[in-house]
Amino acid sequence: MDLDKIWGELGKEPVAGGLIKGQSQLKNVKSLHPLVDVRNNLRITNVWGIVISIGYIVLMMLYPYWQVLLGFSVVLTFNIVFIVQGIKLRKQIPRSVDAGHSMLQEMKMHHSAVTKWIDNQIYAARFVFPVAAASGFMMGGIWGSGKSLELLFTKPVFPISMIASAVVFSFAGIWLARKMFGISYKKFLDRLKENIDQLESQHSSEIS
Amino acid sequence: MAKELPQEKEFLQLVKQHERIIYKLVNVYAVDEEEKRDLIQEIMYQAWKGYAGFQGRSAFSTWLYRLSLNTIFTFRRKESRNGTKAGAVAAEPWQDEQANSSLEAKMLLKAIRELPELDRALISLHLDGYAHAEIAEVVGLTESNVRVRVHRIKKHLITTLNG
Repeated sequence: MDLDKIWGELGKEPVAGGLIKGQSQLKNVKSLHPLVDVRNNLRITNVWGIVISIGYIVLMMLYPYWQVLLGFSVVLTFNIVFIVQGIKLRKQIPRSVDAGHSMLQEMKMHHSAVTKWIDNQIYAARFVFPVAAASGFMMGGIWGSGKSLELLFTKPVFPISMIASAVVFSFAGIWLARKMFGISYKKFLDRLKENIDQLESQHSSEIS
Repeated sequence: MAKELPQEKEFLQLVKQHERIIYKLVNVYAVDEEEKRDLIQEIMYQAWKGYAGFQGRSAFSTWLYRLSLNTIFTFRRKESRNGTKAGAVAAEPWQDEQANSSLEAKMLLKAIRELPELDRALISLHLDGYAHAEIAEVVGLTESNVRVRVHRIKKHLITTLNG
């Protein structure tokens, strides 16, 4: 049986409506690639990070209580660190698939970029969520009751509720973030890992 | 209608000349029409983005082949359309595809789709005439590994088609 000859018969007919034919179509083509997704998400996250940081500064000016200032200063510092990391990570991620790489190199690069981005987001959440929840709780307390923070802290229910809500919101937020990343990227990352492992195991079996 | 710039015109002409590479690979990795459309669109997008970096060190066909495979392997497929995994193609309407191809060609396509993803890339490259050394470079395996695997896959395909 001549497989090459049979194979040669395939691909003669256009598939799924065929290729992009003109410049106008070429200009409008949108990518659904995960790397493009990650780059876009990083851009959005970085812009929001800057907007939120400005928001923190405004809140610190409006509520100049040392507890609020301390909480938001910590969040602001982390926020700036994560914005810088986000900008660096985005710079490392290429804009398109590279035909100069082998499949193994390309898959490893994509796996690493998406994993780094997810880790970066979860890591940020671990630091930012608890402090943001506690600071928000204090601010809400002041705004809702019209009392000073010192007065609110005289009642034990306030600090206990603050810690409880910070813990609950942080765990819930991180759990939800993991869940969302899992829904969006787990199958994609698993498939990449499976193919990478297969290629690498053949390398190592040959060496041994 | 917008005027085509020389580079865009040249790119579209080159892709048109080598469209069979894209059609064959998309057929090997995707089953339903929507997934095929998404993959073709993605390959075209990536090819156009990467075309400026194509320096003619290899033939355009080789460059397009590599880019198509790298795109297919790093593309996130939707869960509901995951009918391209090995062993999950029993209910696909493969007989309706490639209407002008022989039954043998359709059966070969079906048999290739049932292979693991990496094996599909190896056999596609081999059947399109790439040498073992070239396949090794494209995939990231050693030449001897490619030789052994291609031999096994061919044997398996012949047994399947004859059975």
